Amino acid sequence: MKVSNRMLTFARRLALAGALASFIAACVTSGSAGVSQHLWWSGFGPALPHDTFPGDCALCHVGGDWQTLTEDFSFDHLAETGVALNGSHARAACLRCHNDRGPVSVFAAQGCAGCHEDVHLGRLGGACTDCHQENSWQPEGQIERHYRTRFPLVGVHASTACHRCHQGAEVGLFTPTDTECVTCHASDLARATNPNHVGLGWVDRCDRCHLPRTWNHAEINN
Amino acid sequence: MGRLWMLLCVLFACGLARAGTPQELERVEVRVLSATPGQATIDHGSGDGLAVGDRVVFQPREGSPFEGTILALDVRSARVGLVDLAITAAVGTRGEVRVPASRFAPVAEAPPAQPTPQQDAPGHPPWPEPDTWQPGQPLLARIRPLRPEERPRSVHGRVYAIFDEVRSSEDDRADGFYRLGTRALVDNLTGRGDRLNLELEGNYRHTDVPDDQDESLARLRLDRLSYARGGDRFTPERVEVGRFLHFGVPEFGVLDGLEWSQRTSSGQRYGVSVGFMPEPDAEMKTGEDSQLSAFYRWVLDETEQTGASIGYQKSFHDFSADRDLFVGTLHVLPTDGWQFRTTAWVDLYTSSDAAKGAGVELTQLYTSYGRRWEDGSSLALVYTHLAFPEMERDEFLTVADTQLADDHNERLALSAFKQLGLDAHLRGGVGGWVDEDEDGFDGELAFGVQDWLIERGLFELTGFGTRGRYTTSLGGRVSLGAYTEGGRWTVDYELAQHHFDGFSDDNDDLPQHRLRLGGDWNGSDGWSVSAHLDAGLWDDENSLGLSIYLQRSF
Repeated sequence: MKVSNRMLTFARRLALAGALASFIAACVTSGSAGVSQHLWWSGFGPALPHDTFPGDCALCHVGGDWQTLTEDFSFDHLAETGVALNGSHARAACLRCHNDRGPVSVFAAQGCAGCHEDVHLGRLGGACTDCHQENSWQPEGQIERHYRTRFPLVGVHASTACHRCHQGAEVGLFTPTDTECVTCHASDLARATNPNHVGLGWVDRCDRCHLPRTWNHAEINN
Repeated sequence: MGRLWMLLCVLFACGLARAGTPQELERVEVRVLSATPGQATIDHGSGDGLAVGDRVVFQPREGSPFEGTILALDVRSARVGLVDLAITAAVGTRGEVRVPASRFAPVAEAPPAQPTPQQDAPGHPPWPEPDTWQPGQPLLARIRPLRPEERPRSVHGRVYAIFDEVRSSEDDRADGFYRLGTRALVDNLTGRGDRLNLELEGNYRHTDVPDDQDESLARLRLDRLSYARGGDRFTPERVEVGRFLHFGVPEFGVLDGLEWSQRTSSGQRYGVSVGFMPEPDAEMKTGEDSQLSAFYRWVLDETEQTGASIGYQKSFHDFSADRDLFVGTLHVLPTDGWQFRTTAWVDLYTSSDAAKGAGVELTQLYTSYGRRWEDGSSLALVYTHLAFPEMERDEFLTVADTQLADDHNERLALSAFKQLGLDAHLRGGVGGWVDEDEDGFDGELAFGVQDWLIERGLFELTGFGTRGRYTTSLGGRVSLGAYTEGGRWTVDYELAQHHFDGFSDDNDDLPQHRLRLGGDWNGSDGWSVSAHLDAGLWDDENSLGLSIYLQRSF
């Protein structure tokens, strides 16, 4: 029965993984244009006010086709609106921000959270750029950020996967987190049998003998 | 002050004139689109019932009200001559015009459109009547948002692959994490302004564990799968069902269930939700925790720059009462000024909560106050409070009851960025913390120069120090990077001296070197790549981490 359950689990994971891979492959291979930023389609409608634009339509539009913009079309978002578009924002389709939800100024005033879902559930505050920059979703500078906590990442801790201490790291949750060694190293403590740590009552104050130079070696504290 | 008296007199005179005229007046709210000294262009025109000669009273955010008279207009805008020629109205300034109600009676009585020369598109006939925009018609037509049924369905999103590998010299320890995922948003799925949201990730993690069995785990995680309808400018009622992040109070987390909310005409919002709460970890297992919640969100005006909200969440673990959580937020976010933002998590405990005991506890608080100036300089003060909530739900690594009862962490930090001319800046910060046992502090100061060694480059020197719970660290970092045509690259080298506090052996100092190379590249066809190489060296040990992020937007 146990084998059967394992096989069932494996088969289910395989099927889901296959479905995911197929979906992703379909997305990647469908078309080659990527995000169409400058091919304006009339169906989108007049999302942007044009009343302050130059009267010479040919500066942006090609011939009589109002839907296609010139190949060298560029819109200086900073100069025209006072808001700079950097990194991935500069390549985003206009309608990602200018859409039915309402005036974009309302959302822009909220900062990143005005448009982006806060997967950290508000627990890390609103200073998104402390960890994220505008070129990629990947966070960076976490070791530097830890210098601004009570637990700088020293030695082996600097090369440890986040989820080892932050249980919810994969879904963006990092708090609350305990700094007591045993909270993260409970399984290490359980298998430390030479000598038997639990049997000897060595279940806390690990830093009396262990330093984060290495994972396993202990040192004598005089 | 004199100007105010004059204005009051004018208004009084207008009031007398109005009293003597039985004609009913309608109030038309307007905003300034652009302005020059003595003149302003407003966002309403003949299509809104305005006419040449109408008086406009402006109510600026700061200073006294001022007024003007409509000099010329077209269907959707008007040019106003201000009484005080020295005034330049700020863009966005509100105002109002009182116009006879008779102008709104039959549409045919509205003044005909008179496009200004600026709005004439060469080679095209004048625009037809207002509000009759058709697909294919140029965008210079009257600005009118399309209703959902007039818009096509669109699909946006990304697929990504992430490769993370860390190897360390001690016993050839290695940790690999490989991910493949997608996020897709189908907008206007059925032509009713509805949205289908999907986020899915498959990943594989492998950890070599010396002295024990290696760990390998493959997972498929469904982060979001939801259908939402409403909540746009046309539909104040919003419903979302499926797996999604709470819309009203995101602090309540991801829900497998249903959320309903309603926006009032003045922008306030309230709503309720019901459903299961997936555990916030790598599996997002669902079914053990359920919840009911309600919220109310208040905003000062339609800009939503000032607002507050309160939410209550009652959760159950295996259908037994678990957590009573209140979340309150307050934000004041003027575009140009000091910004304040705070969020508080408050738990209500009963006598059945053994570690905490009956009572109310501020479990978490995040408060920030700061501002950013036009030259890029900024200043921010942040205070955070953290404590463990007592609950049955599996949300963090298990801690003892004594820790639940006593542990907390307070941190106050001040950070600043000062632009020194065009090419240099100072960046720094200081912070202090205190917890149930100890206290400490940290500080950082950096000096950076732009376009010095490399065009579009940044060179920065940083010094930092930290007194942590177990270590005291002092170090420096040199960083060099540059923006390129399609991305950017960075190189950082860091040397830090760590001292293990309380360890009296001679071996209590640890110098640590780090070298980090990073790069981002964005292609024009939706592809983007980020890669980082992080090498560490301390004592006789070293580690090497490689991260590659590949994404395609669609």
